[in-house]
Amino acid sequence: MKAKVTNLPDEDHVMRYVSWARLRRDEDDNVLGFLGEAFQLRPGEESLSVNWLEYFDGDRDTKIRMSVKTFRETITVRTKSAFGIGNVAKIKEICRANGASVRIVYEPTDDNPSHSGIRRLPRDDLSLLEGLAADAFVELLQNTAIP
Amino acid sequence: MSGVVFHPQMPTVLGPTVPPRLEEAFSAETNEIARLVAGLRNQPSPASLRSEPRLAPDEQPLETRLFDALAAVKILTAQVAMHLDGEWRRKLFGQLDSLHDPEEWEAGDEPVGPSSFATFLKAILSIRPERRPGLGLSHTGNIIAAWTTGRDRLTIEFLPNDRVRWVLALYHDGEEPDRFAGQTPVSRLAEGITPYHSEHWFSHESKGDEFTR
Repeated sequence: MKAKVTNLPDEDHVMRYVSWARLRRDEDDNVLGFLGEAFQLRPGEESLSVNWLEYFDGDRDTKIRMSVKTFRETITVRTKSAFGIGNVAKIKEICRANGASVRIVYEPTDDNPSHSGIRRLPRDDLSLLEGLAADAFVELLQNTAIP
Repeated sequence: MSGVVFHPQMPTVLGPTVPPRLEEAFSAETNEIARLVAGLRNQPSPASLRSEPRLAPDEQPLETRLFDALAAVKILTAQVAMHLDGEWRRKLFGQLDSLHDPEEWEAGDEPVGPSSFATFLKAILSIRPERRPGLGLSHTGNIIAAWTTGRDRLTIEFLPNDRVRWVLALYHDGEEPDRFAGQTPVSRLAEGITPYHSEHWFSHESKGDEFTR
């Protein structure tokens, strides 16, 4: 396991699991992106769970596959769900523009050594959540597309 | 779920009247629809009159909870079915079924709440969008409607008790997007969105068009 760090480097990326109900779709259920609610803390949550992509070794495709594999081993990943990838600096920039100074920190767990969290995220700021959905987590990978 | 019999003539027990603020803002037709929806929401279900003890909703099996939630909102829809195009209604039911697919259900989520859905119906019958929205659900069971035109996005969350909150994002070449958000009674939703060109979101012709001021 790599050494623990506190804040993730700005140039790194995090991956978030997004359920079917929180995917932005058109009227025919074609997936277009994420809803802001995909990045909303649940009641009682203190930080938004993500995987640190650069924790994993290998090229970018390998990192993505390993991160998805970790999700599949640690949570119930549904068939029509998706994963969003966002750059750490961009996430912080969008939060800052909406008045929130978030920290994106490495929080490994026993079963997920890449686990990280976005802390100090406001719970109910629609503009901020929309910004994260549209402009921070700009890469969407559907679960079915990843072997 | 497709087992709900659609019957526009189903008798209703009308509940409390629509709040005066709604009556002022809505047309007579929409007020009548709101009255029907409110009446249905306050009507005790036959199952609730049974004498034997029932499981609390959160103790019931997932499939039962999802089925019951879907049935409730489809019955609500049936009460105003005469005001909805048949194809529109059929596709809406398909979207609701898809949102409540047990195979895709996230543990800890709440199924759609009838009060949120009633707010959604009032909004749809007030705005009458040509383009149907994509639908989503909040953790707490509020319906979320999303209209996407090119990169521009309008998202509305339908809260219980006739309130909505919305956020829209407008993109311009090479610039940061403009974002606007608001919260309003459903009766003033159309008014709240009007400055941002309702047709940009709700018209078929606008799909993919650039927003022009």
